[in-house]
Amino acid sequence: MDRVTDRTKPIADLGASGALLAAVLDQVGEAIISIGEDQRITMFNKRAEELFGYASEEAVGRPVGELIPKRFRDAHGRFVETFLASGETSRRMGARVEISGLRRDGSEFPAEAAISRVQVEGRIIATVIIQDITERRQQMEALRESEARLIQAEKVAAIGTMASGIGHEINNPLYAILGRAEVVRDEKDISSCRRHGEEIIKHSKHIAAIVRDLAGYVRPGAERDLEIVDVNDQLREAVSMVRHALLGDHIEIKTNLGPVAGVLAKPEEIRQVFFNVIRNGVQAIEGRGSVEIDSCQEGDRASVRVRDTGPGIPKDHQGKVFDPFFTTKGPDQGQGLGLYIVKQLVEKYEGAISLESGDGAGTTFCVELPVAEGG
Amino acid sequence: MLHHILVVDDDDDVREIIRLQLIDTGYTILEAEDGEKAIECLNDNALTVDVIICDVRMPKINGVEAVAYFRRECPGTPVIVLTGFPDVGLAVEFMKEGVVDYLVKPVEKEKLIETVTKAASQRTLFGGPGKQAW
Repeated sequence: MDRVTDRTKPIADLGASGALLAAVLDQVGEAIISIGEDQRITMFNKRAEELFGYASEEAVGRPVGELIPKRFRDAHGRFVETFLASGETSRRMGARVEISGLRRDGSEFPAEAAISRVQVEGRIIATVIIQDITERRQQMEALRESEARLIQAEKVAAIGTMASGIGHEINNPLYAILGRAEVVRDEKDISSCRRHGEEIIKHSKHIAAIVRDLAGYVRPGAERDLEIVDVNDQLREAVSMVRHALLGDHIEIKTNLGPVAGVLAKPEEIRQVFFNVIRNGVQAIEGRGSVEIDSCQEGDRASVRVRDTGPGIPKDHQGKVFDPFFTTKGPDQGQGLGLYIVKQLVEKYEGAISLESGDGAGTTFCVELPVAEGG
Repeated sequence: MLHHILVVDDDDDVREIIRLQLIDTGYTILEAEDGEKAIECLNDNALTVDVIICDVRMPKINGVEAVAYFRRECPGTPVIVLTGFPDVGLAVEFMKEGVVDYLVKPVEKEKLIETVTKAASQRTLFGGPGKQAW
């Protein structure tokens, strides 16, 4: 280790006040490291010892860069140099940045760091406060995984509740295929079978399209970057899904889709938002009525309104409809997670969802999403 | 006298398939695309319709409402429900209503002919197989 110079000598060596300060800092629950202008450590409190695995006397005098993984070291060194040279005295505590720390044993850990700069007796000292966020990261990751599982489970459950509707949608073309295949089987004049063959192909394609729609809806989203999503395309697909599975005899869906710029998102999540809201409207109607869907752009927001002619949502329920497991429907119509999922997804993309409803006056849900720059 | 089978289904293809499957039975097929047209058709041909084959999910008047009307106004005319809904609860409801069978699409030609033939044999002019027979 290099010799400790006068300009970087440990704070504890600065006399009684320095020793007192060092003792106080040892009581702090966060790692606190001071460095001199040459970026060598001048103070290393007890929590820093525990976090990085160095004793204070080993750490003091070392370049602070040794506490950073090699791949970040250069960038970190330049940042500290710039900071020390600047007139900036401190970064606000709220402006903590995430960094990676390197322990003595070579292992890395995620941390949050805040840096401040003071001048004492002509010396510039930078103090770095570091908090190990390994546990918080793990909790966030676990939460993210739980949310992803919940979103997936809700999609699968939605398909389950629509099973009979899907059966109807598939069984009709399947019947057309069977019937025409029987005609082909029994027909002596093979030349007349061409038309039936064409019909069989048409209906087979129709079934394939339904299965593709459903599979595309249920399949978990790929771990991929966000992309510019066409709001109206996702609305059309969501409407198509609802038609396949839910549409009753006396329910009409009307769409009025205006020009809307794209939003930066995962397409399957935007589709799930629209599907859940439209499904909610269809279920609210309870047999007879219509669902109207409008899309437009209002400033820098894509706005989608889904209006149903159902009985409306009573005032005392309106504040609860986005709560998990809140439902007024029967058990065969879902678990009360649909609108909760919608709210989570919309807010994830910094959008908003609201509703207007009155007893007997139907309900309108309004989903707003920020449009992407250049979308 | 002509013998008719009234086929009620909103899907053109399904009506055509039923006609093709029953072509050898000698029946003339009357077609209706919803419950409303089916009721009109039945009112015009009440004496000659031997069997009604009715879908469930249709616009205007759906299958549940239409079957209730058929059973009330023409109790002697057997009704077969032919639907894409494999729903046991719905099937039980229809059987209580007095329909002679609840078939789920796709149904094979032989099965449809057998069901229609059996149903037609129970047709009566003044009260039908109805609830007491099934």
